[in-house]
Amino acid sequence: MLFVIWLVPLLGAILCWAFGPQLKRAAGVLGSAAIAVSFIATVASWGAATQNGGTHQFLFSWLRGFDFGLLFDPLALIWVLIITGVGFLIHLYSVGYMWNDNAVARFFAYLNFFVFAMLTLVLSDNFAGLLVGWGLVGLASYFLIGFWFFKPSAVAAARKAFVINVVGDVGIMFAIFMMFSRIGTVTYAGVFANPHALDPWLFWICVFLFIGAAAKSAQLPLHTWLPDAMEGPTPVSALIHAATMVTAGVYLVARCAPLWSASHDAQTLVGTVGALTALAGAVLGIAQWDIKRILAYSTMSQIGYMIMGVGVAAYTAGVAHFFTHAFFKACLFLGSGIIIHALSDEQDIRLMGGMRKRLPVAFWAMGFAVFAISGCPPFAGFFSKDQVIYGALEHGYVWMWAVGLITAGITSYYMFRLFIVTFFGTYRGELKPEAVGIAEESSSAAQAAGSSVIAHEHSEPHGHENGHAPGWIMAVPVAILGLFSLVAGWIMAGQNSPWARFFASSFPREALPPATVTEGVTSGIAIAMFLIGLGVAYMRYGTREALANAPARLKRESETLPAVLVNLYYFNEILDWLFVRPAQALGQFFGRWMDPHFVDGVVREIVMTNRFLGTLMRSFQTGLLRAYALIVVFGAMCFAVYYALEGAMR
Amino acid sequence: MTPYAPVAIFVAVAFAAALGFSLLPGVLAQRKPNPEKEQAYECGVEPTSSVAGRFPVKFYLIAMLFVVLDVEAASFYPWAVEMHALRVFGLIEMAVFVVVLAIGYAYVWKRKGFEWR
Amino acid sequence: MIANPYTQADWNAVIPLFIVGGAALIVLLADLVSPKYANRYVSMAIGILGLIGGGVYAGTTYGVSHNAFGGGFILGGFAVVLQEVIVISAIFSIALFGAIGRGDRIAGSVALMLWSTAGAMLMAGAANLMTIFLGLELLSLGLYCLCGLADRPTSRESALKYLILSSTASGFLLFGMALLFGATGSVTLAALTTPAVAVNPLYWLGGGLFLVGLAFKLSLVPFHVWSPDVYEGAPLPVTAFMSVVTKAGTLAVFARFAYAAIPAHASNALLIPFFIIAGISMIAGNLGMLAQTDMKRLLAYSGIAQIGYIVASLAGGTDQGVRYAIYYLVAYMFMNLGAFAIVALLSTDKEEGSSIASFHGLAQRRPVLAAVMTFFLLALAGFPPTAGFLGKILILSTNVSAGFPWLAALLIAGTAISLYAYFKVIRLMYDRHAKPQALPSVQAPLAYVSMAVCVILVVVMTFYPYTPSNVLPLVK
Repeated sequence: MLFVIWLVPLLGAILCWAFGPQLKRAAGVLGSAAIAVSFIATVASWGAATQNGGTHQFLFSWLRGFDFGLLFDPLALIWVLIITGVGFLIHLYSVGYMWNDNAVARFFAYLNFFVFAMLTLVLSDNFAGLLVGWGLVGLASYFLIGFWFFKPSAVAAARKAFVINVVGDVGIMFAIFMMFSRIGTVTYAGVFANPHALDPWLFWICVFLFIGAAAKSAQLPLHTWLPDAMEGPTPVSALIHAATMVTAGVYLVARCAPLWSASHDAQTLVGTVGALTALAGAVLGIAQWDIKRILAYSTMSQIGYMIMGVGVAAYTAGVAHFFTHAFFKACLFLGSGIIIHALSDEQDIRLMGGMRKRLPVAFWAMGFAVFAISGCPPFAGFFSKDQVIYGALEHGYVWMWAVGLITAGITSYYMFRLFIVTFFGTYRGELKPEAVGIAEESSSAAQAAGSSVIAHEHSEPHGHENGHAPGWIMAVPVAILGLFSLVAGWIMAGQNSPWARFFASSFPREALPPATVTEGVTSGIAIAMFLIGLGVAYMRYGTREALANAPARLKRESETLPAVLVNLYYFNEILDWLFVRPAQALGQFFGRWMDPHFVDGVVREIVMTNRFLGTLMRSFQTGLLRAYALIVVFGAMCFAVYYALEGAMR
Repeated sequence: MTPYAPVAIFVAVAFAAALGFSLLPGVLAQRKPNPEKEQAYECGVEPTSSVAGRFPVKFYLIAMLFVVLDVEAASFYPWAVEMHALRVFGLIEMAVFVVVLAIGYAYVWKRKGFEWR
Repeated sequence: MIANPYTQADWNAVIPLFIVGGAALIVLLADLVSPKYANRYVSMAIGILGLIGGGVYAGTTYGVSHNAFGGGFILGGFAVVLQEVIVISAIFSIALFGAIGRGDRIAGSVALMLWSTAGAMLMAGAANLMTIFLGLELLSLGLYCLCGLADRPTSRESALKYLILSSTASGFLLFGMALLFGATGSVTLAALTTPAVAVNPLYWLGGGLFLVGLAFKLSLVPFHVWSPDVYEGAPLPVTAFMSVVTKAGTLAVFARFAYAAIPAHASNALLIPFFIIAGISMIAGNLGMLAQTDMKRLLAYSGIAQIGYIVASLAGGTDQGVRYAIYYLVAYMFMNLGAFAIVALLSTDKEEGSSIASFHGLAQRRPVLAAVMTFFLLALAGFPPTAGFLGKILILSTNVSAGFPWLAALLIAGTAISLYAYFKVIRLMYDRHAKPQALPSVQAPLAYVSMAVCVILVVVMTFYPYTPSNVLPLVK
């Protein structure tokens, strides 16, 4: 059963790839069916994962200490459910979304391959297998971001994502090396049996693992690739850059819970990065106009929450937020995809407006999701976010608790900003771009979008017909996800919730002193923050007067956004200065001087020597039998003399 | 003196003798060549052609086949002597041996190895 | 009264040899009755089936440990594994007959190859001087003929060279055996382990000459001189066969001698010259590759170096060493036979595609073959993710841990040199400016199959590096 879950997506990928030209659009059906099979198999093997601490399937043994296998436990189950379940909905949606693309088969081959890679990542029972999956999802992400390879900006974004992800891969690789050299095994069972056997390297192992997690999950300062990755098709953004792959970092930390529980320093580090990312991402979300980029920053911010949760050892809470986030964020992306599709690939929210009447499915589904992400009870996000924020307090990190609450308010604000500007008022698509503040050079939007590395084009080149309403094939997945944005959190309510019982034996527990503020108070503050954010957004964009003057207001706002936010805290420039320029300089040094003069020189010497020696060898090879006999007999005589002497000396 | 000394002496003498016989004539002998002397010695019969001349490779084939089958006959002798001691084991062994050679014989025959072509 | 001195178990131990040898007889008989258009395939089919039968039967005896024929043939894990190596390479070699020289009868070649295989299989388990020599001669006699069977002068030249040089080496081997017998009064290898023999000068001289004989068969420097010429001249399947089977059989004898037939305190002094020439072979073999213009010659030199690696793995006499040697031997078998399969696929009816020129610009004409050839060359050079890489790593580790770091250093140096040689071929294959050549149209499904199997196994072995654990002890 485990193999069905794991390998059917791979089979789908191979079939889509091999028979692409024959399949054409049927590739979408095939690809979706593969994921559906995988999902059904997952549900069917629910018991296998939850009973007796999960199922372990031995695969094969490589060198000593490298035993590969599959581990299917509650933690893996949750991830597999999301990957295959949400993955299936997104596949289905893509059938409609990619209807007019002429490389449908390639798209679904990549998408299936991604699902396979992600399953490899979460089902592996050891760090080496995890690294394999880790690398493969990075590769799949690279393929999919650069899916429209004729767009230079897409290619550049794909490359950027890949390079930053490789930084993370190297981090994990270092961690694996250190583990292996300390205890000679890299299986989860072996490593987690006694985390303190890794001392004194335990903290550094955690740090290196977290570098991998941070790169994959877009945590500060390795987050810059995620907004650029929105160059990929929208379903890709939904699946890979919202629901699943970017949460791999959360998975890694949750999986390594025994290590984090054993290292308090690592908890503080990861919790801090998570909290800062949550805040920074939310603040950046305020200043964006591109709908997918707003969602990208919100993803970064929400993953910050998750990382904060698992970082401070509130593992159940962090995973809970992953679970709910997968639904509402996928819903937001797919909904925005419907809008983008309907508006012939327009992504700037200043040129939207009035979508409520035109796209009711998107409106309602995204509405649910916006309420969920903003933390409004009883939507899903409320329960999980609450748990994370309270978890930070419970584990003694008061400032993270405060940051979490403030971020919740900001989230509420910028999400409702997106929601109101997009769906209410009147349609502004017929206006001139300058009328809403979009200018070629000086405009903030262009600057916001264009980092020093990448020049953007905003369009997604697939729609050939102009703005058509989504057919059921795109509407149904969005509606289902919207529904889940409402209900997914209900299983987490209360002290002894099904969720808590599900993970009862998965994570190490600590005895905690009673927190200074009760959970009820935290929830109360969170709700207050939600209302404040909603209120501010309404005052600024939603009032009758504001809606009436929307173009002028948006123009004014575009011109007055703080430069530091527009320029994304100058992170791209900093990274550019710190890494790209020195690397280029180093490259220049090697290219201009080192290679031609030193390396090539040495190589030339070696080649010359080799040629000479080779010719020397050949000079013995005269082809004359008598010469050969002479050589053989000579060698034999040398042997005989040595052994005669050796024997005589005994 | 180790027990191997006689062996060593024997080897040395043999070596010296062989060397001596091949080197001494060159030193001692007087050379007065004439055409008669230069001729190959053929048991007093007048030589008709050069000894290095060619002859058909067919002889080799026949000779080789003869040797192979001759070995067959030769191995019957020891078996015949010890036949009663070897009993059934020996009989089977010999039967296998004969069958193997028979297959070879059949192969050569069918491939026309015995024909003088 | 000489009743049957041997038990049923003794005979069972050599049944695989009988199956293989018997299959050769059937090949000959079948050839007499099969029609002209089918005789090649009949011969190949019977030969391969016989080998499979022998291999499968040998496989069923894995795990059995039996000292057959009073110590003449030791059946155990080691013998079985080596026999399987020999049988598999013989199968692959026979498969190559499908690709070369259409129209000729090959029953004789196949039969001789099967008998040689039986000889090598005997060597795999031989544990007294008599059976070793019997196996070696059975192996070699077939090869003398096989080398000369191609219809070209170089083939006959190669047969003659091999005959004369090999019998010289056999002479040394036999002389060494005689001295060993003189020293111990027994022909079993087990008798050599008595510590008392180590003070006997005859033992030393005998051991030395015995090793000379083995070094010749393994083609270690300086006893390698025959191999490039013989490989070049011999028919392609025979070359492929020699490059693995001869070496596997001889390696079995050497391993048994080195591991089980030497008093512990004499081991180092007795074997060190052998390991030194193995080390020299790594360097010299790879250097020799540099100036070659014929693929078979190139692979001959490559084999000299590769066999040096394998022998080096046995240095120190560790359990690990023999397991890694087997691993690398199996890897070498697949890499090497895969490369030969490609040479066979480039052959035309008239000539074998072994000249380097036929590889020039191959990537344009036969991109798949070029890619696969690149794969095998990289594997031979030791690139990950191939078994060649892992095998070298394993041998390095065992060399270092067994106290032979200089062998490890030579291995690394040899590998570095070999990169240049292998890449020369790869570069040639991917030369864009090559003159277009006529495409040989080869219809040899078996050669394609064996090529594909080799590729798969070379990769699989990397990720599933199983090294058989019950190969020791080699001698009871």
